[in-house]
Amino acid sequence: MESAAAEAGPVLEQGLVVESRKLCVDTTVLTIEVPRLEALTHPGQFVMLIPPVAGSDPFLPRPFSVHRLAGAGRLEVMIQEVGRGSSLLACMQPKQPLNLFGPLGRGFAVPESCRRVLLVGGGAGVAPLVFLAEQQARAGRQVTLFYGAAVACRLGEFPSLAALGVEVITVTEDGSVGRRGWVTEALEEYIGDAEVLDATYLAACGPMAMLERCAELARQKALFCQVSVESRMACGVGACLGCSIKAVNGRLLRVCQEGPVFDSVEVFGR
Amino acid sequence: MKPDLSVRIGPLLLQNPVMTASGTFGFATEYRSLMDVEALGAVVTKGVSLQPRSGNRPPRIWETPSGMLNSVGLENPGLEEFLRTKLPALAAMRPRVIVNIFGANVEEFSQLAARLDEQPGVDGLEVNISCPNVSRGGVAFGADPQLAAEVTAAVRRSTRKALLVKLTPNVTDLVEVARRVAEAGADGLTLINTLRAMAIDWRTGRVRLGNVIGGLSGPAIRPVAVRAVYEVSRTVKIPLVGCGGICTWQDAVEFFRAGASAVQVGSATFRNPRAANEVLLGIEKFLTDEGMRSIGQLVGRVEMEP
Repeated sequence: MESAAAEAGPVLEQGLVVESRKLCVDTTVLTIEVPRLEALTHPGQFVMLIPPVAGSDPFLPRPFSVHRLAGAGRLEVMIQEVGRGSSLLACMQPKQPLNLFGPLGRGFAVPESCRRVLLVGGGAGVAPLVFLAEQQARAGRQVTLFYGAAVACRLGEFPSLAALGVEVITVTEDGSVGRRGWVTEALEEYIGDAEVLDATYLAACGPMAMLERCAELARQKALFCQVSVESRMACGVGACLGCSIKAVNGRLLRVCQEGPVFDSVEVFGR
Repeated sequence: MKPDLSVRIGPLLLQNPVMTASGTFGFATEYRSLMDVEALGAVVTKGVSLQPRSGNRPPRIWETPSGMLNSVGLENPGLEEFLRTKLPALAAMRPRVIVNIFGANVEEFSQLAARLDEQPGVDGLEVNISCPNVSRGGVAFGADPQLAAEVTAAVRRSTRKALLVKLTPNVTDLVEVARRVAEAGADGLTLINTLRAMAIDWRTGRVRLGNVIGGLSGPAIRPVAVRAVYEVSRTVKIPLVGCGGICTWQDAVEFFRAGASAVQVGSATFRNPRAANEVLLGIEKFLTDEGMRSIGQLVGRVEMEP
């Protein structure tokens, strides 16, 4: 499904910020008008946002998964403020230009035969899963999103999901909202009932320990599972070999090229 | 009238003086849809060794003020795989193809050069004796004038193609290394490779790179590179290729004034994939505006009165 985009390759564009919306205490959603890029993007792919500063500090572009397609040539990215680069991006205002390139990397690949989609998002890792949930719900599949955060103030709301009939199960570590505990515990309980696993696909994005637990649960239940992995990047296009992670068999995987979405067995083994 | 941008390095004539720096441009196809590869004077490939190398353990990059550290460690598919899967696409492009080569000893450099000398799609070699991220070879060769000269002479005996040698600034007397390498038969020198550097997470105490120490690149090292080009150009009369933190055409002009005949755009491509294209367009406009007929007129044009 990505062959057309892969052949054409990513594009470098000057986008325009058209909306900035605070999602939660440390996270902002930017809507960027960038038609040529929007048309090419699949769930799970990412874009490189070039720091909106003159000069060279901060130096490197920042990778962000596409959070949603907002129609009319617009895409959304979710920016959690973790340092100077992300803070500069998060405080961008409507009508400001923003240079970016993409779409990059390999996205999610839901098998045709699948009828049920389970998604697990930890913190800002929920970003690409909202895009995927919308697409899959529109395709007629039954979608459940497990969405976890440390505390209530770090949870965002995604109104588009309810409208599409996506079930959202919210989990916080302190129980301030939703279920108390780890998001993977909610998943485990949910799939404890074997009959729901028929024609089921699992995708996860969040901290590495969360992904590993999802992969383990998938292995136990013989589920096809994909994980979206985060890594520091320089080029984003497979040239610098800087973002490689070491998979379970010692093989190096370029997150920007072989990922960011991997079959869980590629990263964590069988 | 358009200025003459062509540059000669030994037997090699480049359509213009702008190249990509090794390790920042893969094997060119990665950037094909993002910038105009055809407009470049030359593409310098990712470093290639005889055997495949898996490189250093992650994490491999860390951003620093106006620059970055890398400790990739010359991960590459090895010479034969390069010839089979990477060279054909490179050779079909207009820019000259300069293959960056890395060996763990003199014999490996010779073998690499001899095999690449047979390839019609290869226009030149860039000998990497300056990588800070490998335990054998690399910077150990580049830091010793005698060893640097031996590697250069061995490669020279194995190829008639253009021969660049990429030097490290991590030495006490760069001019001496440069002089010996030029005497040993290099057609040009690439100045400079990355500077050995390190970063630590102040809170956790953990090192930022899997290999602990890496190489610093980006605008942070530009003044070091300008100084290297200037100093070497006073003594060594073969063409110099300036490399280190070039992001804009103004940066490139600074290198030409310091004494470089050509430039390489490196880490800047990460931030702006079109950086090398913009550098070239800017140089051309600058020469036109200044009424210079060729890029050669700019080389070494530095005024010693501040």
